[in-house]
Amino acid sequence: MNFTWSEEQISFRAKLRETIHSLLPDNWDVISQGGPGATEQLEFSRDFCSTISERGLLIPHWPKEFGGDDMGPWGQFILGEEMSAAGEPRALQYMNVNYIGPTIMAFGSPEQKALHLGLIGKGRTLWCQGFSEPDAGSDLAALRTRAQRTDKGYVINGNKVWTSGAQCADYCMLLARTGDGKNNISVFLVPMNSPGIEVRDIHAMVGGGGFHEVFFTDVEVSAEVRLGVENQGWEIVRYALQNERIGVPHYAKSGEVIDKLVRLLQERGEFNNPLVRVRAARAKIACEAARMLVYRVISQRAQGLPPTSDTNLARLATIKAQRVASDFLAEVAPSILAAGGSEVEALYRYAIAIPMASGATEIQLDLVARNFLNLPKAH
Amino acid sequence: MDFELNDDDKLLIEALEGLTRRHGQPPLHHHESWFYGEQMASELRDNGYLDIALQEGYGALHAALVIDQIAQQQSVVEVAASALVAPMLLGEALAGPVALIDARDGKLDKPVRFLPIAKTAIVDLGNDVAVIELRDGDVIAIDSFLAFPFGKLRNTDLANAKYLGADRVAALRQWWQVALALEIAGCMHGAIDKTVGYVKERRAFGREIGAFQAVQHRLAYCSQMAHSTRWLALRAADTGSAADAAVAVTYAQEMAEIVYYDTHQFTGAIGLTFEYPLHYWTLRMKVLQAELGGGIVHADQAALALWPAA
Repeated sequence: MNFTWSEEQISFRAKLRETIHSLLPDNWDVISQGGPGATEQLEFSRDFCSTISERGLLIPHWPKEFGGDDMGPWGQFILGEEMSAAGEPRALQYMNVNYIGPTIMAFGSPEQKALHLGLIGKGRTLWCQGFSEPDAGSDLAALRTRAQRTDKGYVINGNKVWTSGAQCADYCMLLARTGDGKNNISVFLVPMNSPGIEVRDIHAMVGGGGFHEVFFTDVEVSAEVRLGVENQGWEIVRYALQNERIGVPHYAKSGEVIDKLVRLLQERGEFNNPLVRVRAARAKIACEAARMLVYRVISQRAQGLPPTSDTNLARLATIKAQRVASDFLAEVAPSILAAGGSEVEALYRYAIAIPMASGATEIQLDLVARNFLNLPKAH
Repeated sequence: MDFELNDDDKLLIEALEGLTRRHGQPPLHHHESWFYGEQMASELRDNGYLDIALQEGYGALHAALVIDQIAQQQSVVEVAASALVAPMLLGEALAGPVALIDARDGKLDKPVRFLPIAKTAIVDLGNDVAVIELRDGDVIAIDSFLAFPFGKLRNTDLANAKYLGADRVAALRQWWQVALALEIAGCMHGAIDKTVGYVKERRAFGREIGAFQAVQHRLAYCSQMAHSTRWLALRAADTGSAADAAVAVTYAQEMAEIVYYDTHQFTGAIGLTFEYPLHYWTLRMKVLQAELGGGIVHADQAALALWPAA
């Protein structure tokens, strides 16, 4: 057991910081205002990810056979922390490299691997995640979008909602019903330019263009776009979500914004107030409490251990950290928040969605109670 | 960065588990607010656990693992000051048990845990650190319901003390903070484990009370807090960073309040009795929660350590 970084990891982090710093334009604050799901940031990510791909920094954590550098879970997390702290210039391409790509590695056909892993690894492809529906959020089993078998493949009908990045996406990792039973769910890798797909914006608190509805009307796809075998959806989704639930080091971004705000408060002399210092420390400490539990999970993965409920525990701490951090920002810097156009605003607007994304907090609490504490099934 | 125990660490934990299985619990029908585990203390001392931080191939992190394990027990033993604070402050072990006295306010005549059984006291004078060898008659025992043997110094002139100098004050506070965070982590885990066991058995309204989401969710949060507390404390022991120590103790002290109330709430009235063991951990947490000024003081120290003035 040790809590220090290796020389190699320190050097990797330094290289990342230098690269990010050199690639972010002067108007990055403006580009990143709407967050990773906004059009400006998504379009920026195509050039950014393409460039870092050429420098070996987009998928260094992937296995060498898929174009990576075998840096493993710690490499992924150092990468994620630095990108998140910088405002996530990869935009939603973080999903590609964190879990969409690895899920295709695990369940994809040779053709799917050749096509998608190659595209993702070049950094110019955008994906969205078609899971949630109007009546199926955390309760994904209630989803109604249906993929009907035909001679040529499938015809998809239904609609998805809260779909981040759908306005720019080239592909959608879609979850659809392939039968009436609870387990009749399959995953499809659907090209978003397929006839019959319509994307509509939803204006919301969470920042520029982050939410969409996606309507599928008689969308015809070939059977080759199905990931895995028919009705393997739950297994695939569980695999993907294990990566997604702690895949974004939100604590790193929160910690970075807190640091910047503290520097501003120090310049203004407001950090001489012990009440402000205590609030700042509590916010930062909540981030550290989350960091430790996320690191615990990464450490398990690095050892090749199977996923455990530690992932849910880590997500609880991450959710709490985000809340404490955004409350600190709102209470200590109300004028900055009200003035708009700042990182403070971006983080505040994004924070409110964190406890719902990837399964509501209450689902995580249920999972910890049942699988970690082994408490009786709730009634 | 590696959060997994290596083979040596696992052997250490296994040995401690064996020791605590034998001596970690008070005798049956012990109905007092605390029980000092003399046998556990002597085995820890005789087998070298209390100077593990100074042994070849071991260090502060191993002392931290010992403190965490022992704090999970129902019996109380002085370990943190002997195994971690004294060795890291002085580079040598002191005759134990060791009591830590916070006299930054200039007051030496105050209740201090472990003082009635201590052979040595380390005193934070604010601008210096004093080490006192205690003799018979130096301490007045106090009959406290809180979960430690409490006492206060009879003689407060410190005539025979050894002074370490002002430059050791920060080191004393830092390792004291780490020790506090570890003790709280152990107590949290002890209290939560007991409570989780209880709510699986206890039935109300026709079902186990652990089947109610209202109970489950709060215990899930308690568990998250206890685990975060442990890892922050272990990190602070390993890195030796002043900021990590302040972060760890702040989190531990502020979360202890929640774990204290929730574990008692779910254990109900039986948990308030001295015949049920929950109080061994919770009353210790109540003391530890306030030591060195408590969470709010440490939060401010953490802020100053995390963001030093330019």
